[in-house]
Parts: sequence; structure tokens; C-alpha cells
Amino acid sequence: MYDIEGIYKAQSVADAIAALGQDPAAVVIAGGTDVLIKIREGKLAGCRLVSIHDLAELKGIALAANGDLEIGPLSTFRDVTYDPIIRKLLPVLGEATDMAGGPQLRAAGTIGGNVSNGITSADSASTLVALDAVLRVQGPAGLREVPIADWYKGVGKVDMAHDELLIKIIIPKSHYEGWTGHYIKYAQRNAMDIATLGVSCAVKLSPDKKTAEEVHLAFGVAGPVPMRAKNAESAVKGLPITEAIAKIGAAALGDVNPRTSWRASKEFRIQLVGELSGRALAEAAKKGGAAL
Amino acid sequence: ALSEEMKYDEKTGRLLNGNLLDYKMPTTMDTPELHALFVETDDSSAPFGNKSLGEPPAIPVAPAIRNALLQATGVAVNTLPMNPQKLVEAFTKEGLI
Repeated sequence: MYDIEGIYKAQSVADAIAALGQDPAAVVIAGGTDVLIKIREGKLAGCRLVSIHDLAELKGIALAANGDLEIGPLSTFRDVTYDPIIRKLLPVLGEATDMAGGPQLRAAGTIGGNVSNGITSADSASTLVALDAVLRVQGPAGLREVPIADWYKGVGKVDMAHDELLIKIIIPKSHYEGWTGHYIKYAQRNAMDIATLGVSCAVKLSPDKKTAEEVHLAFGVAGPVPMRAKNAESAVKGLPITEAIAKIGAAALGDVNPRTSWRASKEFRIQLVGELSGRALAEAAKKGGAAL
Repeated sequence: ALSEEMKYDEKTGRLLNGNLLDYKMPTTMDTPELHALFVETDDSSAPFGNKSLGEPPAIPVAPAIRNALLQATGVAVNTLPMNPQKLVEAFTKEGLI
């Protein structure tokens, strides 16, 4: 059923990096929810796999001493959704990962795989982009950190070399403290689907909860890679929250560049951007205590 | 009526969505709660007055939704599925949005 030439089960991150360095054609497998499908479709038939599935050092979600949230990339979608730290400090991320696929996929697929694939429709991606997450990557030369704004290089391409591994997804304290967020996955049905458009909005309200001091708006499937809507963000910065909600959709149209595919037309996706941006902001503001 | 559709490449005739991810069958998350009520009648053209039950519930749904949509918006959508993509096209054409 699965046409693979071989699989090497890595013993550690360093071991996996060495194995990838020795085999330029090897494919990393973690949760396997994308790789196995590609193998079965024949796209990766006959491949050699390096499995990082059992590396305990890449699992777990923890709060660092400085307050940064550190997510092990092997955390499954379900791990993220039900993690007590995420639920308390960053519920929007757990809500986003809870919308991927169905229950079986969420128990196997990992947030690290979702980000490393470089796919614009990834359910965790737009929220991580809205949060300005930082990605820690390890390679033969050591560690480096990449802001998610510089991570996506094109469809399926990210700023990570063949012999590098994503080892941590970091949400700095200042990026979540005082912010509330909301993710809307617009798909053609309510389960087992790919987003037609993903909208994630984070807002920092004024102390009286009436003004949007700062807004972060990010989209999936509004362009070839997950993207921020910087024009829309600056257009509504500092506005009373009701005015910000009314204006953000139209402003976001200047930021996006969706394409027509056989799944949905450009015009339809633009309609969704205009409509859903305000809804996401309204929900994010409500979670932050705004009376709407 | 609302989601399922076979999509073809216009140039090659190849089926584009020949899998259960892209052929949008409703999932349990999408299906509304259904109640079935029986109206007992005597069908004189069939043995013992019985009546088939496979097709009758499937046929009126699409026209009923189409007519409800027409009454609500003034726009007649005469092809299936009446999904959001098609409604955005139809409403744009009629100047509603």
C-alpha cells in the first residue's frame, strides 16, 4: 500500500540531521498525515524516510522562564488544542488547530509539519503569522531563529535547508500578553475540508476596551503563502473598535492576492476577505472584553 | 442540492475532484437534524398499495431551496449545487453585492 524504499528511525535531533545530510533525497516524516498521502498518490513513491516521530525532545508545550510560549513541533493538533497552557494563555491557537481535518488527523498530524510544509491553507499557519511566531531551526551549523514573516518562501517552500529541522515554535510573551485572537476557517463544509480562506485576527484593546490599539490580521489562501495584511492593520490602528470592524474588510482587499483555482474563484475569495476580516476582528475584540 | 458536484477540466474532460476530500459530501457536522413523518396513502398502481421510498425524499429538496432562495433574494439559481461560490457569482451578476 505504501511504496517506500526504507525508513530510518532517528535517535535524536542531531542523528536525524546527520541522516538527512547523508541522503539528499530523504524525506522527513513526523505525523505522516501529508507524507503518507503523497506516497500513496505516487508523488513520493519509492522514497526513503527519516522518521522523527518518536523524538521526545521535540514534543511538549512549555512556558519559558521569560514568559515565552515554546511549542515542540511534534505536538499534534490535538495536543495543542487541549494543552492547559495554550488554553489559558493563547486559546486562539488551540481553536485553530482544532479545525484541521477530522479527529483522526488531529491526533496524528503535528503543528511542526503544518508549518514546515509551507502550505498556505494550513490551519495553524495564519494564526502563527498573526502572532509573529518565531521558528527555531537546528542544522549541522547549530541553531538559528527565523521570524515567521521571513519563513515562507513560496508554495511548499520555507526557509529551512534539507539537513535542518524545526525544533521549536516560539510565541514571545509580548506577542500574546494583552492580545486576544480569533480564527475563522472558511471551508465548503464543517469537517474534513481544506480552507477556502483562513482568517486570523489578533487585537490589543485599550484599557477601557473601546479602542483597537493594535490589530494583527493574517490570511491563509489569500496568496501563495500565509500572509499578513499590513495595510489593513495600519488603517484601523487606534480606531474605536466598532469603526475598526467596519473598515478592516475593505482595507484588507488592498493586501491580498488570491487566485482562481478550480476549488474557488478569485472573486469569491475576495468576497470572503472583505466579509470575514471584520467578523474575525469582532470576535477577537469580544474575547478581549469589548462590548459589541 | 448545496454541496455535491462533479468538476471537470474543460479542456481535457478529466474529473478534477475524484476523491472524497474534493467531492464535498456533507459530513455529520453539516447535516441538519432530520425528522421523518409518514403520510400513509394507497398507491393503486403497485402491489398491496405500497410506494417506493428511495427517491421521493431526494427530489423536492433542491427545488424547495431554490424557490426559498428566489423568494428571499429575487435571484433564480437554476443549476446545482447552490453553494456559496455560485451564489456570490449570481448575486454579483444581479448587483446584490
